[in-house]
Amino acid sequence: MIRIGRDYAAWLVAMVVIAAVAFALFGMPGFRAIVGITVLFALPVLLLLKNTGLDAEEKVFFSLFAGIGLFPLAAWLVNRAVPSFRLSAVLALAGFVAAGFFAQRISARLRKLQ
Amino acid sequence: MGGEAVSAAKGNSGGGAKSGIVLDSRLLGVVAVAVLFIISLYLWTLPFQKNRLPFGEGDAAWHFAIGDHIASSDKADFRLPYYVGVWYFGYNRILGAFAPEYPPPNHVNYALMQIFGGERFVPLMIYRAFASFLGVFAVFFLVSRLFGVLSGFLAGLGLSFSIREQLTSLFGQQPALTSLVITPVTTYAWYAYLASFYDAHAAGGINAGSSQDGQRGGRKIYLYLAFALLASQFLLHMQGFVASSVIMAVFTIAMAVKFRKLPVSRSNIKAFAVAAIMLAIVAAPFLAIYFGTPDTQGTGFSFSLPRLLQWGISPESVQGSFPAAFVQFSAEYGKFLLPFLFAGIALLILRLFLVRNNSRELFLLSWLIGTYIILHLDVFTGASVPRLARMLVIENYAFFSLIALSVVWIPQTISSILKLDAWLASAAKYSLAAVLLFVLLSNGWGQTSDRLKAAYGGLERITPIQAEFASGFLAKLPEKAFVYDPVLPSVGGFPYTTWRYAKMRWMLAISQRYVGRDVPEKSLNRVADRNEVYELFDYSDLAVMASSSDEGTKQLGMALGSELRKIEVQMFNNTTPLYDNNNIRLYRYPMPVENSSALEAAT
Repeated sequence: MIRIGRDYAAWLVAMVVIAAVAFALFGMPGFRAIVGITVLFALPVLLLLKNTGLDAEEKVFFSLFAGIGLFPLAAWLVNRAVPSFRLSAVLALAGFVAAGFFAQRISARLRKLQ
Repeated sequence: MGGEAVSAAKGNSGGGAKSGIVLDSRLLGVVAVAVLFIISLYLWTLPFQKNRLPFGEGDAAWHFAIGDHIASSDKADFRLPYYVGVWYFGYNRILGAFAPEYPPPNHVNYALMQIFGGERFVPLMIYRAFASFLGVFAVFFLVSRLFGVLSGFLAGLGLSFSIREQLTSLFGQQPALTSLVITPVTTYAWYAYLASFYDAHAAGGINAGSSQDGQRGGRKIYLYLAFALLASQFLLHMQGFVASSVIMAVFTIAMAVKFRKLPVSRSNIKAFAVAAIMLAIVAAPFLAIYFGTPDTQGTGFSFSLPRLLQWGISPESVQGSFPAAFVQFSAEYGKFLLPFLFAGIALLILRLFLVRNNSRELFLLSWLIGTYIILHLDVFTGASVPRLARMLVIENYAFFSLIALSVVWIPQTISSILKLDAWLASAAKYSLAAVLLFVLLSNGWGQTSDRLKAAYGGLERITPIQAEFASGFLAKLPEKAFVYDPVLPSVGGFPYTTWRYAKMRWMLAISQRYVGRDVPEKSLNRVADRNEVYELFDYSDLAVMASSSDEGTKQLGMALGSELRKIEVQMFNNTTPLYDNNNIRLYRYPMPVENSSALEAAT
């Protein structure tokens, strides 16, 4: 089950409101663009920062500003080996999700050992 | 400096807040971001809310063309596609012809937005607007983390009306702007790291609060993040990387002088090495992209006292590249903002001397010094001034922060001198904030809205007829087609050829075929398929001008049309065009091109 903390819930609501405004202005392409910005640029690094001691606001901002340069690089690098760019982007995103998942488990193990 | 710097880095703007209030301030931060986002999204997308065809100068078309090619071909190559590579053929001296001029992320982002958005133009233009107004959030983040949500919101709001950022975005130089807007976040991460380092140093490395705050060597997560953000900036555009590096260096020196210790110890040297190696790994493959271009070849130190005594950049030094308003101080900061700005600067200096824990003030001072250095790189390195002009947005970040901070600092300072009641100081703060809000909105909203609504209107943007011709007919020509757009003499002082340049490039981008007029002979000989050369005669704009109710425009349209017709008759009399529709005609060049000079002379 995915648990979303109160702070993240507030960010999620804000994103939905912004996406709704984009929908009102541009229809479905506008809505999808805002969701795309969130999923492609903010989410990947956010998953990596999940278990750091930073607060939610820091995580969100750092993720967005680092992700806008680093996620496309990851997609481009995967595309060196995978012929389809679309598939490469999906695989890059999956890579970040997996890295976030394992980072959590590794840090949990380390905490237990301590 | 005690725990002040760290508490600021942790997001406690005022200190002493109870848990309930902290929660409210966090929620307030989210609401502030949402409001700023909606305002910026509405304003910055005004140029394409009604007309959804793409716009901008040649740069905008160039960036679009590469991203669009990645999405349509489903492949992100390192080399440029033919029709883009011919444009600045052989620009990179190290990587040669068809070399990229930017590392991949900018254009990959364009492609990602097209794919995710499910449409060719709108999602990409939303991304262009978003990646340009990100400075609003970067400054909000920086100021609200250090000084509170109210000042962060006001600083961000001021930036959402910034003419410099809007013009950079409109012209299409958004990748440079996107790299620059990250600077406040990168430098904040660096501030947070150094603050925690010196805090731990002052506490002798003893755990003073949490396990992370007190550790020797500072909170290394901020160190890694600062380097990750530097990498992100490097990948988007070199200028943002340079801006952050300069400000970080100035702040490091300031903190080292203050604490009489360099921020290096046995406990953090490994982390520094790891972060630096990671940055080098990310940057190294793309160094030749930047260092192979003529733009990065500075002419070295050239001393000029008058230039060093000047704060910003003069309109004369960017003539032909930017309008005067782009660099003019008065265009960026309305006269009613000036009292706030001067109060902010004066109080910053005062606080540097009066506040014991003054790391935040030192940080802002480092921004000002860093901005001065950045804006004078023409003196220190011989960098081109029009290129430097884009970095003026760094000044905006510092000045709008100080403008917003004045509303907090004025009552705070008066209150501490006159020993006023807390509620009175608070009332004064919110009253001043209301005044600044009124000034920002009354000054900025109308002007910004008018400017952006009018941007690239009418014939200044590619028209539906031209877009349809580009995507419906030009796109079906052979991949290595060479479509020439004739050069017309200036008629009545109207530089038609220059005016049409961006349109011509948008036709290239939309059709994915080369459309141009100024290819050097050596390039043409190397790249053109001589049997696939075409000549374009586009009267569609001139027909609209010629039917205008304004007599001057009408005469101009007719005169230009007559000039274009002369060329057409001279070259293609009695020849049937391949395309003849909506006042646009396209001919195949009548014979295999033996000599490109003959072709250039003919056009």
